[in-house]
Amino acid sequence: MASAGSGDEKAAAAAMITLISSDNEKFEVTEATATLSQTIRHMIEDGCTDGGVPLPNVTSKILARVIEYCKKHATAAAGEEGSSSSFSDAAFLEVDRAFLEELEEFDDAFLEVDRATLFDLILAANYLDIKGLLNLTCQKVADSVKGKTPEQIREMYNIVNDLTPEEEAEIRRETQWAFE
Amino acid sequence: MASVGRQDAAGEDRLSGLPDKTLGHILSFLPTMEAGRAAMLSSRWRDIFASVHTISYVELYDPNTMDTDTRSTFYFDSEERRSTNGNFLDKVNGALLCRRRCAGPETTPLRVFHVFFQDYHNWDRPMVDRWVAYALQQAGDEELHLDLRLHAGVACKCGRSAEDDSLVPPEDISLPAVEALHLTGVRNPGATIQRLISGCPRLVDLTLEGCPEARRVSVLDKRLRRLSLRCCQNLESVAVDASALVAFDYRGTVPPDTLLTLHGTPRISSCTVEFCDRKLFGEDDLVRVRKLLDKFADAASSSKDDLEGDMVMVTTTTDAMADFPAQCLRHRLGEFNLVHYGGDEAQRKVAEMVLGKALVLQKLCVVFPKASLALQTSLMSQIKGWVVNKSAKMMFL
Repeated sequence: MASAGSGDEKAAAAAMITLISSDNEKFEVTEATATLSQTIRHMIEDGCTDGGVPLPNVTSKILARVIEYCKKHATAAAGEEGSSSSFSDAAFLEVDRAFLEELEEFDDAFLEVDRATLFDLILAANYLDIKGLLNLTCQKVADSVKGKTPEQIREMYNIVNDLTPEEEAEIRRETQWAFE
Repeated sequence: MASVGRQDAAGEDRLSGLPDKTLGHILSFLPTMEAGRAAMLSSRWRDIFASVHTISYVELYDPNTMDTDTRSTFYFDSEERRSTNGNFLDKVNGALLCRRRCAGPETTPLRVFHVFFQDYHNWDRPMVDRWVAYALQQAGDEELHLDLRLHAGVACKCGRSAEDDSLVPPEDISLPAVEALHLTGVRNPGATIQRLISGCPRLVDLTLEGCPEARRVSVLDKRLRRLSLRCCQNLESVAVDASALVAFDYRGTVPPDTLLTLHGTPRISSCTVEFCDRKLFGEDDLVRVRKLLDKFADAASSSKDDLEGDMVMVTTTTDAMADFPAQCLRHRLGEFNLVHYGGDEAQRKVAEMVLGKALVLQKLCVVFPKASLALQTSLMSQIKGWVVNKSAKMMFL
């Protein structure tokens, strides 16, 4: 689509932002990619991104993955902004369907990580305030516990049950509504 | 942080280490009852329900309580005139009370409140009123998705999602923050619907879907951007301040020409009209269709925007298509979508007529129902032949 193309050009012309991971590795990204993070967007708006944006909570390994995600989704966002009316633009949606499918495949593949990385991604998405990535990763955790008993969930995530039998009975009474 | 990477297997509980808000976000993806049961995990999780921002309940069909006999027993004999939805009410109340009990200074604002009844009863009304009041009070600065569906499956068969289907608005309702109101399957008298609309001063997006009691609707005190009327077969008149209207969507039988009164000059950029008349599509109907489209076309001619026609023909069976979408389309129709194009005679006539007149057509999209490739190919080449503006971008799906 022409609109998506113009979005790309805009992105290319825009200034580059340097992100610095906790282990001092530098990443150059376009502004369009970086502003998927609300946290960085606010920094840019406040004009305090000269000399790079230090991200002391994010390692280079995780930051690389986060940037991978943002790059892919920034292209998608540019396309969306290009279309003036998002609703009832059926033809446009049809064209975009292939791209959306591709994006979905990307997301699925992106989530193929070990659990430690998944939690690091959640924390990074939380800190950087990247809505899409936070939803994606939280959904993955939610899916993994869905339909499981408390005991199964504890085992899966190494949660230590520190409740006394009395407390447990009390909680059970309080959460009566949550049982069939 | 890098050091924890390898230690997950060694028994570290990283899940419980996440901030409350994030845990609440994770639990919000689960059915509300499951989210409630998370309190059992450990002391860390005990009050986590206060951070859950989505409460969503769907009443399941239960032959024991839904049975009409049981219902009438309740009605005539029951001392404690309790609604047959009692169990369901208890569950929703349980969740809301739990949220209140767990609440601390950092309670996450409520973002989504969905309650779908199988069959709502008048007795449930005070309770539902209180829920809505609570949900509105708990909503933060961000938007709240309030979705109440009071009867299963009443929305017309094409049933789309509804965002705010409030059948039981409190007597004097005021929803100062609501911008989008979707009313689906509301069976209340039209006055209730009107009151609800009047209670939303900032409304910009209004959808009425499958509301048989809606007859007269007036939205003159605010400037809608989007108006959608779907399957409200008894609508007689809709008066709208259209000066900011950009999108209009209609589905249903061919309406009388008196249906829509537009005040002001709309700058329509999207007009979607779907007719679901199964059999009748006579000459009278065509005249009325034209009049409906003319309303927007006239208006659009004074602005620079293209009128985007988007017609879904479910079935049309007559060949009396004499001067269907007339003049108005000639210089206005920028985009035309044909869905369910099976290529019967009536559909072919309409398509030929519209495409032959649309001089400034830029985009054409045709969606075929499942059919043999050979048939699709022949329909496709036929359509290509009709398009008068050869530079239009064509898509066949």
